[in-house]
Amino acid sequence: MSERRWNPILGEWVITATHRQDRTFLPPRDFCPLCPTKPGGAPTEISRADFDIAVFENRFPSLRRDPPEPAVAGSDLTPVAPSDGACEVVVYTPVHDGTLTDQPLERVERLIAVLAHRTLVLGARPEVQAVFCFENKGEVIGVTLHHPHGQIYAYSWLPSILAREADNARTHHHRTGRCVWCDLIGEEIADGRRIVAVTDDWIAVVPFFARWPYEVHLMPRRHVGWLHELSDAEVAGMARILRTQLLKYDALFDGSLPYIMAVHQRPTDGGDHAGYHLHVEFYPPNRTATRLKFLAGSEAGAGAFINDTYAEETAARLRELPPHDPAEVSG
Amino acid sequence: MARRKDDRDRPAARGAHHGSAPADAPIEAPADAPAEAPTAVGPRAFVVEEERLSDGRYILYYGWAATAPTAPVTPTAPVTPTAPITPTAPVTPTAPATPPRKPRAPRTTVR
Repeated sequence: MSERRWNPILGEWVITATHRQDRTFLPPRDFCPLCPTKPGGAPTEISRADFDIAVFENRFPSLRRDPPEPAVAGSDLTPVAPSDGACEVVVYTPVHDGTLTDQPLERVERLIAVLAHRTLVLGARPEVQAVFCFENKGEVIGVTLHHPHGQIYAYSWLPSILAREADNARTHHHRTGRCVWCDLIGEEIADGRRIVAVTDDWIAVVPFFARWPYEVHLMPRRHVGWLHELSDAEVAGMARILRTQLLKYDALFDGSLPYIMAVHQRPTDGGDHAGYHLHVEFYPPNRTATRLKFLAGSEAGAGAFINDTYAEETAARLRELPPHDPAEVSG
Repeated sequence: MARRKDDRDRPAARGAHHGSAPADAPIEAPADAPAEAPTAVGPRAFVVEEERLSDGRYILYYGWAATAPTAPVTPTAPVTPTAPITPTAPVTPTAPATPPRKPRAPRTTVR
């Protein structure tokens, strides 16, 4: 039902989770499993009539504590292992309609605090090597429930992208004594062309090496590895720059822009990760209002992204959209 | 059985580049980074109520402390210690080495 299989060619694990084929798919709003259970209504995942932010174990998890033994036997070349870990759903609000963009700053700050708390709790589990918080927004991304929510995956291994980031961060740290993200922030501030928004504590940029046309990275300006290391002021700053970016995205094509939001934190495997820097990556699939970028031959088949835009130009466009200053963001 | 965090004898760890420098080697920051590192106080979020769903899964309802904890939260995760940031001179970007260009093959004309 669920296991991970080793790909010796790419050197990475693939999760097999066949039970997810039957997961809830775009139910009518009266049957939303993330809404509070209404008196006389269909039971949902949330029995309370009201709540602020709720977190629960995914009903259709790819990873779980004490997973079943794999359904197939592996080999020395292609080992198979149980899918240890956790999959949680984070429900941002009891209100069905809306998106993260619509949430007031205070709720976004609380959401950040919840993600920080879950990172501490899940990261403390002996099998957990990395805690990954993310949000898929929009049906083109593959969202199956519209109620505003995100997810947390706790992996019992370091997935490929996080491992590559950690390896390169470690190499840069050993070579220079510095953090690669801190150096990138210094270069972006010195250059200025790719900055979308900036505050005392945070910066939003279209990275020099953007793969998606409107890819944006949010980074704390202080060297911080995990969400729980942020000060109160930095959490408030993160909420403000996050909301600024989301409002800009929705202004970009005058509609709710789909995206993947990936929160990259320092691994929790106890390894040498002093050079790893917390950051948030956004990958909106749109290259125009009506056209999407697909992962096609070069991207999916060879691993080489082709970006049809200049980061300097997309950053300038995003910069010109409201809100122009994160300090203007209210609510 | 749960694996230990120090268990490196896994396929996923094979070939990983684990450096020899100490994990707590100090991080130098660009000069324009905030120099004062505020004390991390940990998240204000806490679980108000935990329920069990009929299939045994947990659901957590969150609440918030009105003020930040007075003592720093001790992360329960085995974390990598980080040294305080020492502002240094501005970063001098180093351009990546450009590989030598291969000689272009002579162009042939098909007649």
